[in-house]
Amino acid sequence: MSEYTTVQTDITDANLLRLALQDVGLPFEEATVEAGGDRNGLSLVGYLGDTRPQTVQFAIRRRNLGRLSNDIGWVWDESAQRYFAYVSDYDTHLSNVKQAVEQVAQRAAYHQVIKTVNEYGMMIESETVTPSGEIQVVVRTF
Amino acid sequence: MQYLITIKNGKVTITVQGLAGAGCQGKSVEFAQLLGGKIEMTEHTEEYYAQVAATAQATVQRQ
Repeated sequence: MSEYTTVQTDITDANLLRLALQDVGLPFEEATVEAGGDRNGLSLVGYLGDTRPQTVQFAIRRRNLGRLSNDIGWVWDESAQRYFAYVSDYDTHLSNVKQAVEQVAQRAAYHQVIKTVNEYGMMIESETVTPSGEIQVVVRTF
Repeated sequence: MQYLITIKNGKVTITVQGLAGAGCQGKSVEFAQLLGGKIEMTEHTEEYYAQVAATAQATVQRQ
């Protein structure tokens, strides 16, 4: 059984994380959250079908990752006020899983930028994605 | 004021393009904090250059 590794993210907003997961394109599940209730209502499942103690708000199930993969998930940490990703030690060596987690972080950061730019009433001049995946956004104040 | 925002590996870096007045710099820092990012490089303020020039002049006068 592969243990889960906790990866800190800069994601602080569930809406942005949801948008990022949609961008990445892998099917995901989101826990139903009641007002004032615990956000992390989904259990992660290992590659043998075993339910793990880790619970999360967002999960990509192993069937969408690979035959030997474990679920990956994002847990809301109330004290840190941010999300942490759970990735099994085994899956950290798989390029598709590593890429998915990195893409989610990248897209969430992008949506955070666009949200803040709009809130600030700034104008987007250009958006470029380099071959390495780096996103460059030029904005201008009015 | 123009900003170049670079997003790499989920990290945000903001570069201020153009000469920034002191007030604009404060806004840039606030903007960067809202983005959860950092100011990588910024032009110095006119006040900064004036301060550097004044310090250099004072040094020359003391010699």
